[in-house]
Amino acid sequence: MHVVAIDADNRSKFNAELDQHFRLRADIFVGELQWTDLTVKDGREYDQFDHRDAVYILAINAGEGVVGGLRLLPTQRPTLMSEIFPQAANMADMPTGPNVYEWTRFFVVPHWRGEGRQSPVSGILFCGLFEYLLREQIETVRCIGETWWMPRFIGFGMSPRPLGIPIRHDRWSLTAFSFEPSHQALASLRKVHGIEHSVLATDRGDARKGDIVHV
Amino acid sequence: MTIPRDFKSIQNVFAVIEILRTIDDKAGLVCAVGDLSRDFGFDSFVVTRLPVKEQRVRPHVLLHSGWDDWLYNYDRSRYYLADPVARKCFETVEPFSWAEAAGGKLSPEAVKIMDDAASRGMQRGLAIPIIDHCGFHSVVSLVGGPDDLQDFEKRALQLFGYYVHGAAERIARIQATSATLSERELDILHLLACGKTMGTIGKELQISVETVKTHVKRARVKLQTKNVPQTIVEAMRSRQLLV
Repeated sequence: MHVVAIDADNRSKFNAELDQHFRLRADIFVGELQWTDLTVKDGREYDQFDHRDAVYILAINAGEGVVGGLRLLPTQRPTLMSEIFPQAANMADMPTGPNVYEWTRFFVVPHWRGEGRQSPVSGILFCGLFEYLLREQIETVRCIGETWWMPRFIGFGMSPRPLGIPIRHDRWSLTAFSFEPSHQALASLRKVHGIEHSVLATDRGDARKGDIVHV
Repeated sequence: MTIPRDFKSIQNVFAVIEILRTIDDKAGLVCAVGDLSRDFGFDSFVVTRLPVKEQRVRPHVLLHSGWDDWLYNYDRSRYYLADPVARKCFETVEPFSWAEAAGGKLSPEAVKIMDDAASRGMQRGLAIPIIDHCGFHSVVSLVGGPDDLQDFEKRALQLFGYYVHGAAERIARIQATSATLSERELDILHLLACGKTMGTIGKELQISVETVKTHVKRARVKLQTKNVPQTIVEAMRSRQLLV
């Protein structure tokens, strides 16, 4: 299993993976979690933020394809937090800038989720995310997520800073937070998840060769 | 609902969350948590992991203030498995008042626990359930609180509870690193926990009673405890001693 980072430059090499990822988003966020605000077209979930500048971090399992993913949005363009949930940053200004990205749409396919303990796929995704953030010298990441995940992010050593008090949205309690990627946090994530090596495919154009972490 | 940014107690929550990152000792953490809890009208608190298969909670407590007697009584009376507050922590990730946990049909044992708590001045409280980064359950439980706790205050305390738990776990790890017991010390504590005397242990391990006492003393120094029972409890709480 390995992680690929798909951006505007290498997107054409990962059309199949991206398409599978949009289909999984429909299955999980709309079918399973019933996020009613989202729209599904042709079996795929995508919104106005799935533009050319979005970056996708996907976990790929050999022979199976995409088993987890997340989306990064540049904050100099409109994002989920700035357009839909600005009220979540009710105690601090949301960080914005050329080196600030917003993390959204994190998922792991059902059969790779952990029972109680963390799923190996989420561990690989988190490590791949941090490797990418450090490689691209992204200084700050902001995120809005389910509030009950906060203790996990704290325990992972990510040092999340809350941007506001949790808000209610439908059945969900959501919290906006930001964090600064660090090598220390990556080391902590690797330790927690028992990952010893890099999981991010280094060759951006030929990442499919990788089968870096066996789970 | 709009949350007032200038609400002083809420601003304090965010300020203390920042401070919690820098605290690396239990006494400092107890002080910071106590001060902020009192701002919201809470008298005392506990931060504890919630074991799945055990009946005793005390070995799993990370931090508390003013809960000594209740925790002793709680474990002695084997309350944990019937405690509606503890049970609800496995059913929800949302903060809830103790009254919510006691709503609905309760077993006679659960009613007894709530009555006993109330008779000791713990009539009401707020529980903040936590699932940590390893998937284990914990809770931050605050005693007291006003009748009219606003929803946004509850949510601010939820966030605060998460950071308190994170700091308590971090400090527990620091202490565990500096308080690692030797194999011999653990052997002796295990035998003491089984009810054996120091004399019997000395004979069994073919060492003098004085040597046994020295090992126990070293364990006490490492764990900063006052007596043998507390040393055993602390060794169990730090997950070094499994009895």
